[in-house]
Amino acid sequence: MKNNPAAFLSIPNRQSFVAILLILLRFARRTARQLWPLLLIFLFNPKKQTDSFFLTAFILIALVVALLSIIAFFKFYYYVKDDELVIEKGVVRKIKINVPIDRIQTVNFKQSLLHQFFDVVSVEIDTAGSIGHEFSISAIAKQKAEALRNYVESQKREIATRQEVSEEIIGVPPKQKLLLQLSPFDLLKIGISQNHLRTAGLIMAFFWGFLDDIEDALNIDLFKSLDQRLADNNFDWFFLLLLGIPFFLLISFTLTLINTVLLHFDLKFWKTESGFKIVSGLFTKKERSATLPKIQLIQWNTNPVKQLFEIFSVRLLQAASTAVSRRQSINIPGCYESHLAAVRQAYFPKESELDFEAGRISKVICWRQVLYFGIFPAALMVLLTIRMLGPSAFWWLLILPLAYFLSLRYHRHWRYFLSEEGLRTTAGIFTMRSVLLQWYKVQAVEVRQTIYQRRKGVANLILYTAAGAVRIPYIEIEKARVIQNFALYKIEIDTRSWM
Amino acid sequence: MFENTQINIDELPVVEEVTFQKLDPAYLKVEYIGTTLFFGLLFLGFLFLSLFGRWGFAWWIGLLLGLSIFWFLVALALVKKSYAIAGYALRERDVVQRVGVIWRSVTTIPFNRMQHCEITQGPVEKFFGLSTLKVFTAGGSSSDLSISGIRREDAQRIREFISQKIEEDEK
Repeated sequence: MKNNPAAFLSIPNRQSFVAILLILLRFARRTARQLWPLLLIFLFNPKKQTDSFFLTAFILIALVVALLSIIAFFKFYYYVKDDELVIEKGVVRKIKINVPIDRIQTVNFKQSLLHQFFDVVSVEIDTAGSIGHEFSISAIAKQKAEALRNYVESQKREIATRQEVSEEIIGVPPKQKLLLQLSPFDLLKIGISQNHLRTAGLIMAFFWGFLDDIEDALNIDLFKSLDQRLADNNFDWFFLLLLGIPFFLLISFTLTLINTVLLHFDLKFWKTESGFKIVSGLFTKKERSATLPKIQLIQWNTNPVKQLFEIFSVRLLQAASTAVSRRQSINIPGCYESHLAAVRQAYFPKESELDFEAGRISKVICWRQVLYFGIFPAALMVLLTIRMLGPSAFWWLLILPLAYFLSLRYHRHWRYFLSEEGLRTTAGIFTMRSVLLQWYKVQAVEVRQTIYQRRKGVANLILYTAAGAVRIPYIEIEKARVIQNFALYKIEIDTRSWM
Repeated sequence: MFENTQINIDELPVVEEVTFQKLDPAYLKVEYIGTTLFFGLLFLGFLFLSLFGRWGFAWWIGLLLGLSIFWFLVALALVKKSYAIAGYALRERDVVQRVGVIWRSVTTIPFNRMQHCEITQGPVEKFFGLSTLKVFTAGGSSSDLSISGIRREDAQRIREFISQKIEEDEK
């Protein structure tokens, strides 16, 4: 046992002392975020008196919370006993969590800048079960974390195979093969090909909230004063728009680029013995792993810019409760065809050998698309602006031909491909999203029809998996039923475990 | 031994051909009572608003009241219709549920994908001796089945049956 790096696990361990620092910092940050308008009032608007009673009360509460978190640190222990990972915590009420090691699905690491500075990691442990029982340890030394993970993995193998593992093997890192490493040039390509409109939306939402806060704090109406000033100078709104839009786009473009670099800096993607592993990030280093059985489906996207660069973004979706599934999936923001092929091969080994039969959805879907994305928005905009704009509000009706054109394109690009063992779908107007699913990963099958769809003889087919659903909308009802019956047959005769 | 025989698509079991088991007639009453309670509370709310609110019986309260009376009648009519459609079926390897007048859906869960199943009973259901059978999968709440309006004894028998099937599968 002397050389066993995991030996420390047999006795109760506290977290690294950095955890206290982290807890306090997190607390301070949260408080500051909640209360900065209050501070602004304090600094800039002395007319508005703040009751000193509240201030004292607030400071007292803060002190108590800080004290409690320090006590919490000293009451937090983790150790391994009888093939179970045990966590003890709780200041007032004692909580003891026992997790059988073979139920642990993934052990993920996360490192913020502070973590990196002290060479500690936060560990997230996710277990099987439809209700996501997951918990985290906010800071332990990196070697200890690695030893813990290796120990968990070797123990899982041992329990799974019921074979004796000699003591040397315990704690030895498993074999892995580097599939992909993103260079700065790759990152640039990825950044450029991101969806910039989404960033624009986010900025707008953020800015709105920010402005609101400032207005509340300083008790002024920014828009009114801005409007006033502009009117005074005979400012041309059109000119402002002409200047503003490119500026705005430039900002969102830059922000997306920065965000991409921050998130995916030095991304490395490995094929491990049991699945895949990914590490990335500049300030916050994130490490995530997925075991193959836990991967339920695979998604990949491409858009015209990505096609130009010949890159794809890929997601491996893991089984998890819905609340955590977004965090559980492995995202590769950009990789080349060969990497995608490797992932597909690992998830669905037979895919390349099988014949896939292509199918299309019904043209009836065009009407739905025009209704939702053309008629409803156009009517809404006309109604909202007719007072202000007068007859020129009817220009909004130009949305209609645009929606019609886009819906035709949407229908033309929707394809599904059926095979003996699985299904692939491809859909999208400009960003094409593909999904690959094996039948035996499906949990439930639903055929759903509205009154209108019943009249038109079409239906939505929904295949639920433990990592999200795959839908085929507006497929002819006979086809939907054939796929439903076939999928059920495949699930019911397949003896493989879906996880 | 590995078998890989050709499958004839036309010979696969067809979900739509099962005979759906209807819900217990008493469930109609449960639904009527539930709908009436819901709208009754709504009407009471309007009453309070016009009695004690500072607008009195304003025109918009009248409008909302009219709308909700209309909805109440529609909902009552739909109870009967949805009862006619709602049903469930146990097959050798799965459970099928059919629901919905406006959105009709047929959901099937194979036994070898079920996590667990349970019986619940609301106060009104209890009065009429009915239960709700719930079947959970790992596919999230939107794919879980919830079959209301089964006689209590039947629900218990079905639960036993399903639990046994789940256990068999885990062997």
